[in-house]
Amino acid sequence: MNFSKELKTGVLIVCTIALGIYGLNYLKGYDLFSTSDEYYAIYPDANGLLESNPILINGMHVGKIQRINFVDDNSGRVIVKFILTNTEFKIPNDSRALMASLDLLGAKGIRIMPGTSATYLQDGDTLATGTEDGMVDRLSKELIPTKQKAEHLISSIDSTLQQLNKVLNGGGSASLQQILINLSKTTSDVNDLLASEKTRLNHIFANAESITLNLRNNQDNLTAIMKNAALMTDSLAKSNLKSTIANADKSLAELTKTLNQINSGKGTLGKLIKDDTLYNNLNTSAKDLDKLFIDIKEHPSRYVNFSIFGGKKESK
Amino acid sequence: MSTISNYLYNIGKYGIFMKRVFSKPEKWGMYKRQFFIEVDSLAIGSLGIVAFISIFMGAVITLQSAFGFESPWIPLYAVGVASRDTIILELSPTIISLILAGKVGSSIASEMGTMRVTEQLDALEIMGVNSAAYMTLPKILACTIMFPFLITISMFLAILGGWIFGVLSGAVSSYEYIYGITHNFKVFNVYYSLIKSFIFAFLISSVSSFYGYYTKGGAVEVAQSSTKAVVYISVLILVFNYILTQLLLV
Amino acid sequence: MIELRNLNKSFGTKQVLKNINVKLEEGKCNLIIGGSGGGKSVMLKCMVGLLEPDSGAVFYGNTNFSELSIKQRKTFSREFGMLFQGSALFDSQTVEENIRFPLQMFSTMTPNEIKDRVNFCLEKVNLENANKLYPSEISGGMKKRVAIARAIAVNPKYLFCDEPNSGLDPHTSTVIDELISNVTEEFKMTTVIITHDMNSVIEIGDNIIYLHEGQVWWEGHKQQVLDTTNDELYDFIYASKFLKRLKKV
Repeated sequence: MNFSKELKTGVLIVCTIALGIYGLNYLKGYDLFSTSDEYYAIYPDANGLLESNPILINGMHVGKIQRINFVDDNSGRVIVKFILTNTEFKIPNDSRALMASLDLLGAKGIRIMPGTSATYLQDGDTLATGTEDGMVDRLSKELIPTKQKAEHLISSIDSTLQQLNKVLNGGGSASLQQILINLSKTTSDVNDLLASEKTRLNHIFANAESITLNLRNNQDNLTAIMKNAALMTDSLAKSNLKSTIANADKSLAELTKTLNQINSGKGTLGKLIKDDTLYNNLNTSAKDLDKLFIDIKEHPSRYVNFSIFGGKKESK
Repeated sequence: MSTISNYLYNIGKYGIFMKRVFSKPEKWGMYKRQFFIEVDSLAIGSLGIVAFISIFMGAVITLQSAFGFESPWIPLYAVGVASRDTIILELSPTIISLILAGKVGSSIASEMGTMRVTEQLDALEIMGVNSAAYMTLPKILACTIMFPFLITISMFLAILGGWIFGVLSGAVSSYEYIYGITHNFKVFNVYYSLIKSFIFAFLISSVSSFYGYYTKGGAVEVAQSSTKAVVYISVLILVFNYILTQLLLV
Repeated sequence: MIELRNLNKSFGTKQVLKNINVKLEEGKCNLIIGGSGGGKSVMLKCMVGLLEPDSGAVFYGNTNFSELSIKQRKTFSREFGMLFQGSALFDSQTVEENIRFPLQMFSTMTPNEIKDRVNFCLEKVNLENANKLYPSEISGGMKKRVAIARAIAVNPKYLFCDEPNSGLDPHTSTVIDELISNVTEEFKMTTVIITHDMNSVIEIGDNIIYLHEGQVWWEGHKQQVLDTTNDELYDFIYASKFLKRLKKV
């Protein structure tokens, strides 16, 4: 077989490129020749998780992390894409992907806690997440607040002791003694009081108890009342109270204006009230009417001409 | 003083030689034909030794790492990590380049030297051919283009060899080795070492051509210039290895 | 016509060529003879540009070759054909490829024309059946003939031969001489031959230049050379006892 040099060169180049791509992907964690499933998990914080960190199920290494990116929504959360090369174990869909520390040095990984569901995750699904504290994490998480509390406590004890010292040194010990004596007396008084009033106190407590009992028994009613009240306020709030009030306000303002006009004697009503011409006129008219009626009474024939039968009769 | 000026003289001469080498070819077709001849003899002809050395180098580095890491504090997959990084960063680009410097460098230098001594280069010049360019440019191109491919094959085979012999000898389990070689892998390391091998290939082909081209005398001088070429190339590879590491990795 | 004017060349303190003034005739075999170390090869190399003269100039017709740039020289030297002492065939190429090489590199011939030209050149040197052989597979005389074929392939104006019959038996040597002479006449070339083979001198020396200690000591043609009165040339020609005996007869 006699290949040309060009052909040999071409074969070498193409084979090497293929080999290089395969090898590079293999080292990066993709095996081009094995089937694998992809899954996703979203965490608020990558927390040192790296690409190619392992995925474990019950301690079995089943895959690795392929890529870690920020979630698209700019929330700062990270989405972890991982592939499982060992797909014998089907993952129930209520499983959780816990971020875990794998050793003392802090190497991270994802531990899948299998759920109990009978339906299984499909290629490309996203798992529920959580965090599993490593030993070091747990220690530091618990130690730090404790330490802060202790520091705080120690400083307040210190200041208290200082105050106390001051009180004790500044001749306060005598008054302190007096206070203690008074306190003792007060407590004995209280004791006496309690002894003498014991029955009454008992009575009070019993009453209080029955009140609370009643309250509890009527809890349903109370709830209903409260509900009604709430309902009412709600509907009040909902009704057009505001606009109504505004309208009323406006009407009143109009009314005030009108009354003012009336008061000042403008318009018909104003004239009616302020101007007595009409009254005078009416009065004169009434008097005239009066006179007319008297005249009519005295001389009805002047005004009434009955003609029941026959034709018209000249009055005179 | 004289040695320093001698070095400077040679560097200048090398620079002028390179200028001649990279002048416009008389006829691309002839250079292309020569290029494939060189690829065949320099790169494809070196495949066997590169493959052989890579596999055994990978095996030895894996066994040695496994031997050195026998501590309960260090996880066994560290063997894979250490083998992978040593192979990709240093063994494949640098050691294989040194071996190619011996093989390819001496072959180029002695071929060119013999052509000089038997007046074949003069014959080219008389014909009106730029002998420096015609003889050297195809070699430089063949080496710089093909050696990164050889180094890629070498990396692949060395890691494969580490796996085969590591597992066969029981030094490391297959799972741990594979976990190790894929653990925290940085792709840039591969690019870095391909850049290195490209520059080493240029050094090997150009420096050996340079020493061969300026051979004077007979068989003894041809032997001397090929020895000189290999020595200087090895020194230059190590110096440039340091410089490139400093520039690219630190 | 090639003309050398006031050519000087020295290596270190040793002056190899001392003020050479020579005219080489067109269409003829110009022989440069002289003892070893007399500066013949250096002169030839200065002429073709493989060495730079310290001073002086080389003229090809009206062209001052010494003043041309490297690029112009490359173009100009395509009119050169050169036959090297060791033939200088390319080891990696067959006889045919060797002859084809300069044609492929520079000419605009089609592959078929090149093939015809290669066969024509091989025919000229009587080597019809050696096309596929490698230089390492053929004899010294054949190599010389292949080298001549390669030199004349590009149809050069100037043919330079550096000791064309060194290391050959007398018969092959004569064949080579005849070949050179024939192609010179046929293609109207200016041929420059370095030699110290007296047979060539007498057979083909149209114009003979005797170089001694870097200087031109004698100039003439083949009819004159045997009757020379120049002592150094006489010693050079009759260095062989065989010829001395012939002279006496």
